[in-house]
Amino acid sequence: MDNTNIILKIEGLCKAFGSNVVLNNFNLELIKGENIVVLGKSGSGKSVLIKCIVGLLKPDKGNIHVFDTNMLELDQESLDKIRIKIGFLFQNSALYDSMTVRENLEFPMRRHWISLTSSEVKNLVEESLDNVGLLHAINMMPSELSGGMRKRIGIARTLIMKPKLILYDEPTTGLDPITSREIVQLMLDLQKKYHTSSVIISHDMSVAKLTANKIIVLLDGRNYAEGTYDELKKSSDKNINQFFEFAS
Amino acid sequence: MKLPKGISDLLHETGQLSSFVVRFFKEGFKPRYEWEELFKQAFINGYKSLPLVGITAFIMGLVLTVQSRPTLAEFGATSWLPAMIAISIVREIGPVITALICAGKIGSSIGAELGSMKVTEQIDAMEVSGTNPFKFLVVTRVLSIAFMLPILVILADLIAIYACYIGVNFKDVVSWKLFYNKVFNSLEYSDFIPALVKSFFFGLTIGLVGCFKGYNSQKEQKELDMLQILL
Ligand SMILES: Nc1ncnc2c1ncn2[C@@H]1O[C@H](COP(=O)(O)OP(=O)(O)O)[C@@H](O)[C@H]1O
Ligand SMILES: [Mg+2]
Repeated sequence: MDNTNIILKIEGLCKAFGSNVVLNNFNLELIKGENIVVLGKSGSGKSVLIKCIVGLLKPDKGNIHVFDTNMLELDQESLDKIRIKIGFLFQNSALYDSMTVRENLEFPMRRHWISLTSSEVKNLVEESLDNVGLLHAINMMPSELSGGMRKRIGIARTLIMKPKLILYDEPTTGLDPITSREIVQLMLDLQKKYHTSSVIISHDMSVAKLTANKIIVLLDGRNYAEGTYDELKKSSDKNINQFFEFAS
Repeated sequence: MKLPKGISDLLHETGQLSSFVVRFFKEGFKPRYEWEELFKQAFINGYKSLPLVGITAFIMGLVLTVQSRPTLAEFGATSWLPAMIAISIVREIGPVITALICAGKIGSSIGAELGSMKVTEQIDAMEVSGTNPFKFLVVTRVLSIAFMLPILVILADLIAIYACYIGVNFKDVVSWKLFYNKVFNSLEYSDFIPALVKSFFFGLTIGLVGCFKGYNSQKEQKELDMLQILL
């Protein structure tokens, strides 16, 4: 297969905290324009997995290539450069509490695109907020926002740097089903608009159904099963079936 | 041989704190400099501490004067009151009281702020957006306290000396001009300068310890999971 089409490639990833083995030989390959959903129960190491991808955690063993760059051999400066091209939506949005929504969105830009004029910055912020339908919240503080709005602002902040790869950490956890559905729809719309690829971490099969080109079930730190939604649905394995049972 | 847990924990934390301090000096002097955040923190940590520091300084000056007076009166030396109070305030009491108040007010609020940023992943979010969170959060806060504390000390000294003037006038009648001359004839630069240098380092220490506690706060994973459920 043509190498330039592979956005993210993880081989043999292992990570343990002391005696607690979290990831044990995990593999993943993400092709341009696709979405991979990693399904797993709470505590199965999903967050650890994507934190390894962006270099927040150092894996014990294995290889991670993003856009054909080996993430584990980079110095700080090149790592920062490549991190701009990766969007990361945190589990609880991780908005900066002490800043307004506008400042939250400006934060990464003012550091990496220093040459932008203030009107260009303003336009980008407004465009990004408009994308998530929250232009009116521009001067609010994060504490004034609801959970769904925080997620949207988080998405806007992630998208403002025009990343090619987006990592979503449980984008719908803690939201009601209707809001979850809206967030998933937003993710799909934005993907169409900006041609991104994404890794979506979730324990929610209904998210996987709507977004996934491929699903990887993470269990015992390895790829327990892989396939499309329909393929997994046919499976008779009870570890896989439980994800379907609780899906709405 | 295995060290007792208490001692090995202490040594461990001392080591961590030292490497934190080394990192501060390494990163603090490399560009890019976060001026905007530095001024913002200087405003928060300096200006907003002024009322508390001011009130305490005022009370210190007043109480010190009123309580020293009877003793000095026994020797008929009440005319030395302004000079004595001014010297003790400028040399020692001003810097120490100001630093104590700031350690309580600023040190703990920074620890809490960075700690909550850590557990809600805001520090991680800064890092993945390609910003150096250490530089943005820690260096600016520590420097802002280190530079604001000497300024607060000067203001506290002035307020305490003025309170001394009021205290002297409870019993005697001393004109401001006479008081002023007595105070400033007795003070020398060698009283001021070491006190200011000292308070700079007090500030550095307060900032470093507060930031260290917050930046390295590590919630138990269970608590963290609980927090994520609640959020
Ligand atoms: N920084 C850390 N230090 C120690 N253990 C950790 C750390 N981060 C995660 N873990 C452990 O890794 C396991 C997986 O955590 P996580 O990836 O957050 O689960 P989830 O799949 O719910 O996102 C948990 O058992 C947790 O205790
Ligand atoms: Mg998680």
